[in-house]
Amino acid sequence: MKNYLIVETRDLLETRDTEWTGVLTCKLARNKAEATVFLTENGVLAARAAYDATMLRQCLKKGVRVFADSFALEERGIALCDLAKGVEVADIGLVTDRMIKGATVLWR
Amino acid sequence: MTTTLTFALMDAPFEASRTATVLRLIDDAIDKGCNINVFAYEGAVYLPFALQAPHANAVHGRDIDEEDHPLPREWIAALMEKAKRWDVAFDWVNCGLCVDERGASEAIEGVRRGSPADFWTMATSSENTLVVGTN
Repeated sequence: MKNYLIVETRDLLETRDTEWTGVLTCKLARNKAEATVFLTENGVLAARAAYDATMLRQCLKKGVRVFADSFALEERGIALCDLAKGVEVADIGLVTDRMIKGATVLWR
Repeated sequence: MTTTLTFALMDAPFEASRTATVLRLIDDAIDKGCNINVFAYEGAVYLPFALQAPHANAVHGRDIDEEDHPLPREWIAALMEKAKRWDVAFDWVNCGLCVDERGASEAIEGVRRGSPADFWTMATSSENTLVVGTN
């Protein structure tokens, strides 16, 4: 199975183009690819439950795993208890591990 | 077999979080024993620019030592040193045309001049490649 990791660095409210990240990821999942989203930098703002990000809800509903960068969360003062249900926490090593395993990594 | 990873960067220093994020990623890859290739394109050729200098911060009343201004050239030199300690390869190529355009020829030791053809060579000889473009 082809493995994709989409790294989203932008705040979903500031950049409408981030919706495409969700569309792409869901389509990949629908086509039997293993697709994962890694939120980092301002991308982690969307990981908060209070944000209620449509893109994330769609991804999680399709069974896509969504990770938030622990470093970026800490930088922005986002506590783990504030994260949306279904969002997992990982460090930047997740990206390295996926690269080593041959995943296609797309940086947004 | 040692895994080789290639990274292409485009952002100039002091502009975007991407610089720190990608250098964190490279640091982690060295920890995992990977050989590293970096192709710096456009503004990224200034990342290892040797003349970057720290400064004080008069607004916050901090002298040069207290300010401890972070410099990408020092981060890159530290990664190169770490790669040596881990006995993994670390090849940083600055795009020559981008260097000439910007007058950025004074790079730290260990940086070599190249062309996009080097990126092709790096990518085709690596297990994986990540392009981090400007947004």
